[in-house]
Order: sequence, then structure tokens, then C-alpha cells
Amino acid sequence: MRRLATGVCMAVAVAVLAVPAHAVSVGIGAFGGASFPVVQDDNGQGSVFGVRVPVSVVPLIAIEPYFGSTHGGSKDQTVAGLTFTRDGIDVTSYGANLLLKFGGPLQFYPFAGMSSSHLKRTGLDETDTAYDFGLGLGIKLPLVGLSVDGRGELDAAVDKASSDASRKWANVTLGVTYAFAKFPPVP
Amino acid sequence: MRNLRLLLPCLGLVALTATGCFIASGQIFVHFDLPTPFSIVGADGADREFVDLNTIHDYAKHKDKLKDVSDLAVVGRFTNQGGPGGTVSVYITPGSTSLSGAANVVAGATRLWGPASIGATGSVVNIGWNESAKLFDPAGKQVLIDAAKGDGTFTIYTIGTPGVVNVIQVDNGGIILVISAGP
Repeated sequence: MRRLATGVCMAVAVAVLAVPAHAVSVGIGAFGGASFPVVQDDNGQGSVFGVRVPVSVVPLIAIEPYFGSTHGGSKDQTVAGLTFTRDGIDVTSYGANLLLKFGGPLQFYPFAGMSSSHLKRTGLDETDTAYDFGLGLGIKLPLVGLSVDGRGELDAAVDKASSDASRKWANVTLGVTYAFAKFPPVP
Repeated sequence: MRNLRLLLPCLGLVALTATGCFIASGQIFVHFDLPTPFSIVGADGADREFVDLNTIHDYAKHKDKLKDVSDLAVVGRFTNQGGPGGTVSVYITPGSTSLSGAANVVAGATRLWGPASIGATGSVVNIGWNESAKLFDPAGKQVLIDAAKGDGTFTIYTIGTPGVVNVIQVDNGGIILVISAGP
């Protein structure tokens, strides 16, 4: 986890330092939405929220460290004539996405990233490497530095015991971001 | 910049390929119903149940693609029909075995689950999915996972507290497995 966080910070720092010919902007945003387990018979629909720190290093590319928290819903299954309920899985993630942005005030962007995800419920307490990818649609508001976005993404936390298996979630979120700092190009 | 537009999809494909296409996997619920009711009788009582997961459609369907066992539980309603309070535990051996008596089970099998406490006569304990998850013994859990990934057969023994004379009836008992299966 510490290694991943260090790696993300270094990647952001290297990206910022390596591209001095363009303005660099840094923002902070919050997001929230619904989380749908994909082919998970023991985990229910839940909610997701978190914060992002988008760093635009070149006109088309942004690197976005984030923190996300998913609260999984419970799931019912019937065994021997009785219904049993299993608590949902709560996931806490620290990671970073790479966004490829197109457009002006209305932006469309595919993105992908990875994270360290901690999965927790009774009888489950493990940290997995997770990958995510998806599409986003953002609108820059007339207010300086403010934008809203909607995203659809697939998150996959790779099973520690078998790299051929993963738990997956489809997340649909809405977010708002404020770009609070811009660094001018270096001559 | 045009090349950059290909960067993300390419990175995604490389990641998927490098990790064995974990995206196509899923968590499948399967369960094995125990006879209902069954009883554990006397100070050395033990109930034996041979489990062949191959008789479960969803397991047989995904057995060749099984990657891991993500979750498991022993569930049911436990009633003390007579005698002092005590505990209930479940032991496991790979394949088909025939151990007789709680003492032999403890000596010859691996504890899978328990002990769950139960009170004196009339006490009823419902063990649900969440409660059961707390009671697994790592050693027995590994035996079960190996069996599930192997030939799919194992024997479970349900025992009371050795030396305590009581009758514990188990209703609606079952074994829950959530298997991770993929290509």
C-alpha cells in the first residue's frame, strides 16, 4: 500500500516536472453514486463515494489520484428452505487514474487506472490490487474552475489467491471538481 | 497526440493479457443441503455426512474453471433437545472416510468450523451466513478449499462437546460455498 502511494506520488511528480511546456492545473473533486457487483452471488448493490485530485499535465492528459469508499449491500440466498443473508463487502481504495480528455467545455474521456483496494466484511479482510477503466463525460461550468462529470467504470479487484479471478463492480458516479491551482508554462 | 489516443486502450489490453484475463471471472453461489433434521447424541456422539460437490449442478458446471473459494459457511438451526449446554463443531476429511465417535473425529480429522456454543435443554441457536464466517478454522478451511479444487468430495463430521451428554438436533443445515470461476 505504501509502495503504491509512493509510486503514484512519484508518477504525478515526474509527469508534472517532465512537461514544463504546458500549463499544469490541479483540482480537487468529490464524487458519489451507485455500485453494482458484477457476477457476485454473495454481494449486493451498494453506494460509492470518494475524492479525486486531478492533475492536468498536458492538454489531453490528466493524472488523478483518488480515494474511494464502496459500501456493499447485503445479499440473500436460500439454503435448505431457509433464507440466509450475507453482509455486503465494503471496499476502501487508494489509487490513480490516467484520463485522456477530448473536447472543450464539454469533455469526453476514457480512463484507466489501478489502486490498492481493501475488501472487508465478516470473515473477509484482505487488500488486493485493483484495476479500473471506464468512460467519463464532463462539463466545465461558466464558474471559473468548476466542472461536473458523470462516469461509468468497471473496477476489478484481483483475487490474492488466484490472479485469474477477481471481484468486479460497475460504478456509476456523478462528481464535481474545482481546479484551484494553475502553474504557468516555464519559458 | 493521435498516438496517445491509443495509449489507454493498449495499456488496458496489456494489463488484461498479463493478468490472465481476470475480468471474465465471477463468484458463483453453490450450496449442499445436509439431511434435516439430524442429531448428535450422547457424550461421544458424531454425525457423519459424505459430501460430493459434483452432485451440485452449479459446481459441476464451473468445476473446470474453478480458481478459488471466495466464501464459505456452515448454516443451520441447532437445538439442544436434552442435557447440559455445550458446543458444536464441524470437522472435515478429504474424500470418503468413516470415523466413529467424537474422540476419533477430533484425532483423525481437521476442525473446519466451531465451536459454536449452545445452552442447556431447549436452547436454540441459529447460525447464519455472517455468524458462520467468524467460526471457520483456517486449517479446515484449507482442506475444504483443496477438496473443492480437487475431486469435489469430502466428509464432514458434526460433534458436540466430548464428555457432555446431550442431544443436539440440527435443522435446515447446509454448506455454502462461493466459488470464483473464470476462463
